[in-house]
Amino acid sequence: MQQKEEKIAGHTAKHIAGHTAEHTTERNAEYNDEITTSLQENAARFQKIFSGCADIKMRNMKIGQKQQIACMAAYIEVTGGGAIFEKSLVGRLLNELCHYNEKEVYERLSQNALGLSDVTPFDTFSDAAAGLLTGDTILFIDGYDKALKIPDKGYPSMGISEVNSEKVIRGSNEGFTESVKANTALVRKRIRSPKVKVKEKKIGLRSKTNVDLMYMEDLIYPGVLEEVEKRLDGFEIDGVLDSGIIEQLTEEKWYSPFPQFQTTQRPDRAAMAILEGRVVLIADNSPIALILPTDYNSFIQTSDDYYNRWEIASLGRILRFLASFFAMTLPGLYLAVCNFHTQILPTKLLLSFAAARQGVPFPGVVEVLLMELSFELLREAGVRLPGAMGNTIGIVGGLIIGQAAVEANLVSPIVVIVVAFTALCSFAVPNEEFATAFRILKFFFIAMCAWLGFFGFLMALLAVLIHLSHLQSFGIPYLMPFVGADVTDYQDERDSLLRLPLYQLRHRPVFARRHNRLRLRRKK
Amino acid sequence: MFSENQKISERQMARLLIFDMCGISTLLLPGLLGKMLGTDGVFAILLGAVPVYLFTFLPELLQEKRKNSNTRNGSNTSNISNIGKSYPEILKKQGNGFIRIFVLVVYTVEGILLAGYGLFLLSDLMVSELLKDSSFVLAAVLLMLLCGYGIWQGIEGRARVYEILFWFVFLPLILMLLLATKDVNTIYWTPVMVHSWGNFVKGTAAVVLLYGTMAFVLFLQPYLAENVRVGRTCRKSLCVTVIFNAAIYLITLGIFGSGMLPKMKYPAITLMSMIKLPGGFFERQDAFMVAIWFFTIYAFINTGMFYASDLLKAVWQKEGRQKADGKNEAIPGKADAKSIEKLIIPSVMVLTFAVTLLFYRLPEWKIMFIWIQAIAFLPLTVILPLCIGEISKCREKG
Repeated sequence: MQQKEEKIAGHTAKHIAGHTAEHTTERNAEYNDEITTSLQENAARFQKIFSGCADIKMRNMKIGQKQQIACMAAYIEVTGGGAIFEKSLVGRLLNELCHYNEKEVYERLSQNALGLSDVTPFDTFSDAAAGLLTGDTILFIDGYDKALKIPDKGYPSMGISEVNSEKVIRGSNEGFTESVKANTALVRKRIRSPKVKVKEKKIGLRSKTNVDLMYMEDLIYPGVLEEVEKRLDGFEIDGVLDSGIIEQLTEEKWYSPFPQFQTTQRPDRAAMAILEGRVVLIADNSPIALILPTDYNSFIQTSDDYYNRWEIASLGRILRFLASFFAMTLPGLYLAVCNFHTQILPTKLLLSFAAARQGVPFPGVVEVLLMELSFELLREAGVRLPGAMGNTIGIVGGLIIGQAAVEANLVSPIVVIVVAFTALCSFAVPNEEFATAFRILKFFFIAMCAWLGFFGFLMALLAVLIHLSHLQSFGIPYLMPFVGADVTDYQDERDSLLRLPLYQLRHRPVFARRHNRLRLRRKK
Repeated sequence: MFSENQKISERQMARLLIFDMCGISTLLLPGLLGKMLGTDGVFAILLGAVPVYLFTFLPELLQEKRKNSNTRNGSNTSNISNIGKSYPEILKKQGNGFIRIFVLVVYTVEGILLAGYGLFLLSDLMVSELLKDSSFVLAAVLLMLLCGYGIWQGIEGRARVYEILFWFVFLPLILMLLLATKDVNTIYWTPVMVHSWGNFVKGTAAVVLLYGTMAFVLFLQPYLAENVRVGRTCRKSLCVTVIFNAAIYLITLGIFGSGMLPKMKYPAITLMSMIKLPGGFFERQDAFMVAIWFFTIYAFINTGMFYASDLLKAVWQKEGRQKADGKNEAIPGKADAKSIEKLIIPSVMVLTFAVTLLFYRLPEWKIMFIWIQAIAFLPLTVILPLCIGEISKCREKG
């Protein structure tokens, strides 16, 4: 059996290796030819590479004083073209080159003296093709053995808009866009230090998605960046269309419902993470940045925790911690108390519970599941529908269906209250992915409590706790600073359940390099 | 990078020990001592702590010894705790394979017996308090699976669970005890010193037995972070445990009296059901308060199973192989941990469950277990390390 498995594994490995090698060789043969001085040859080659791509336009032109030099501009229909000869960089370059004679044109090209800083020369077709696909214009000039990449309009994308989630009362409302370059700029705008480094990677064999890793050079914990890169290089995939794909492929424990990367749409949150010594991963076409390493505490924090006074921030934190607990446990606790341990409730309350359930034909667990599933359905429908209709669904679901279900004796009003309160709690958790973990675990608690009452509740709680205590994000225990806080001399506890006054948060959290943790001091 | 070193801090060690010792002792001692000593029970709690207190100097002594030997060898002297040598390693150095295997097997069996007893007790508690009319076996199986999952996560994971649970468990307990003090009748605490010495000895032995997990501190050394002061931490944990035990005993005695106390199965749980919380939202909170014993006895079972599996790994391990994997020499059995773990942890789980079933089906075996503890294990935990220490001293002299 084992031999058979090994054989299969070996075969698969060979197949993958063979496929990759074949793929790479083919790609090399096709694209890695060097660009020649013959425009005709270059154009033919480039046209062959992009044959069948109706959106790629290639226009032949003449430049030089007497229009004696032939050239060809290649661009993606939407990213260039329209304003090519009027306002764009390409237009200005071509106009510029029309003022020189043939000899001067080649001289200027070889000396890179075009007066335009963003023009990049490429030697090979593969680079030129990649350049074109980034949304820039590629210019081939007859007699010149390089292709020029000239920035143009670029791909269409949404501009900077207000963040939809992670709303704050105080602080910036700017949100990440879908362009990696705009996003890195938004972060750099907030930390104007040369020590903020940006490492660029391309992920996806076919999509070639740009991924930027941003970090503070002197704060990042040694080994973290290498580990991130190792994980990013540890897989090959056709395409990466969102940072969520990277998140799933690089997380350590795929089976955990808890996210091992923090996500954010807020540049100020990302900037703060960089100042804490963490790495921010921004993928092109995704308005959501990943922050790593992370822990339970980070998910509970919001940006305005640091902008507001410490009392308000602390109160908010306590509420969010409680919310995360009840979002997971409340329906289960209700079932445990009502089905197994009614003795803990005062008689009056017990009687009112019993009266509320009068006429309901289902057992408690079916009632709770019915309501929870209806709520999840409403939530799903609300998300998929356009904005205004989504709100309507909330009102229809929450008020009308809930009321009707109670009147029809399908569920008791107490269950509606329990489910609504649980939903409120899950909305109070500031991170959507993190809140989802509690939503999923809620059903585990319901099952255990319906089966074993409070004993089931304790079993489920302990199982979740054991899981969390073993969970790590890039080596950081997930439950920091509630566990192992001695590593930072218990400094991290000052910014956990309570957010102590800002002047007492003198040290960076555990994510930062060990001997570079001081972040605040009074000037003498 | 940051962690994953299978080392625990001083705070984690202290909480681990408090959880191990507090659970069973706070649950059983009021009833046991009430039966044997009545009003004098609290003296047995204090007296029983003395030998355990003295025992805590043994791991400290071993630690000092290692520190000195490392200073002589010119290695890192700032490290006062773990220089990478465990008790099994010291045993191995003696060169007598038989003694080493014997000691490891004794402790392994003890670990399984303790875990089995803990599992029996917790399953019984769950069935009698939370799952009335349910199957004892079902409760035991589920708890055993949970314990297996717990030890699979290693000592770091275990220590973190108790570190985070500490205040959630002990704050409500302290609050409930404070609320209970208003019903205490101090007349029930008197008269004192009216029981026979025989009963005193028995009561003291019961206390020592229930603090028995302290013996495993000898094997904790390789898992401790550099700056952990073993002896001090053990004594601190013991003091906290004794304070809790004495407080619970005095409160239960002061409320139920020496007449009622011996008749109760779990006086501490009964106490919890009687305390009224201000506000009156809950009529009784015993169902919630059982959580305290659920978590603490779980810790006790986990400790037994963890050491049993860890020592079984050390027994299993061939000497040559361990030497080849020098970097893991400190932790018994860690060298080929992954392959052996797959076999050992399920085996320990099955053995623990078998012991639990034995106690459940044949209650007279429980008495035998207590006798084994009192006659064989307790003396061994002190005599063996001392003998080995002496042998090692003689060898060093030449």
